[in-house]
Amino acid sequence: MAGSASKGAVKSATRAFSIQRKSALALIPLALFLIALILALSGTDYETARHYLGNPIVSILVILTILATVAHMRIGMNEVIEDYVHGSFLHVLAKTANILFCVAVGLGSIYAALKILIGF
Amino acid sequence: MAETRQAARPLSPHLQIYRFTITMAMSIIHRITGVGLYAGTLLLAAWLVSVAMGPDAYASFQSIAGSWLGQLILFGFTWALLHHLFSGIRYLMWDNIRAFELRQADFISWGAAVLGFVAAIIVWVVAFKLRGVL
Repeated sequence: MAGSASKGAVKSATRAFSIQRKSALALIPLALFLIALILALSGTDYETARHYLGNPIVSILVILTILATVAHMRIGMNEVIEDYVHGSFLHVLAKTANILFCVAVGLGSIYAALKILIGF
Repeated sequence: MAETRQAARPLSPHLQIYRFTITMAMSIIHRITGVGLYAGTLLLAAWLVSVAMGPDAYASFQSIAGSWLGQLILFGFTWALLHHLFSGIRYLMWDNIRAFELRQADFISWGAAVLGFVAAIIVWVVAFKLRGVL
């Protein structure tokens, strides 16, 4: 709560609230798309999976899903950390780990999606 | 000495004090499924990376995902995602002051819980049908 007296923290909290809701809205269709995609590809062979994921429209939707997911889950986990992880060192460590995890999962997934699409 | 004084102080009421309400239970489950899905994004990343890496890596991913433990985790992931989705729609409604009356709030909370579970079952029935298991 140390920073909440400053205007900056209030602004960033409002921004987080807004991004959380917008990403949630985007994820309603995107999550359903993801389930449908995984369903279509469950138990199929490698060539089929690569063919589907190599489609530009599918690939862009997958990347959008990843971006919305990462934005959404970073804020969600931040809230959980703020509620349960106390002590300044652990708090900062948990928040840093959260950012690193989200960036790593996001970049790794997007790199893979682009590699399938472009084939570098 | 500080500790004994602290113990004697009145504590603010916590979970076990309250009567069960569906909105409370759904709030807790929303957070738990959210944390589960957070970890579950590793599965999505592993799936995409395995396809990007080639047939061998994809075969390894499929054999792990196809094991009974893999299937159990994937079912859990499906349920968590659909539950969080329907549960989350309630929050978007409440943000816009919809279904805010007590009975309406209870109704959409039960509805989201049932929908999430039923939708997860439907997805897996379709998955098994597509694979010719059912």
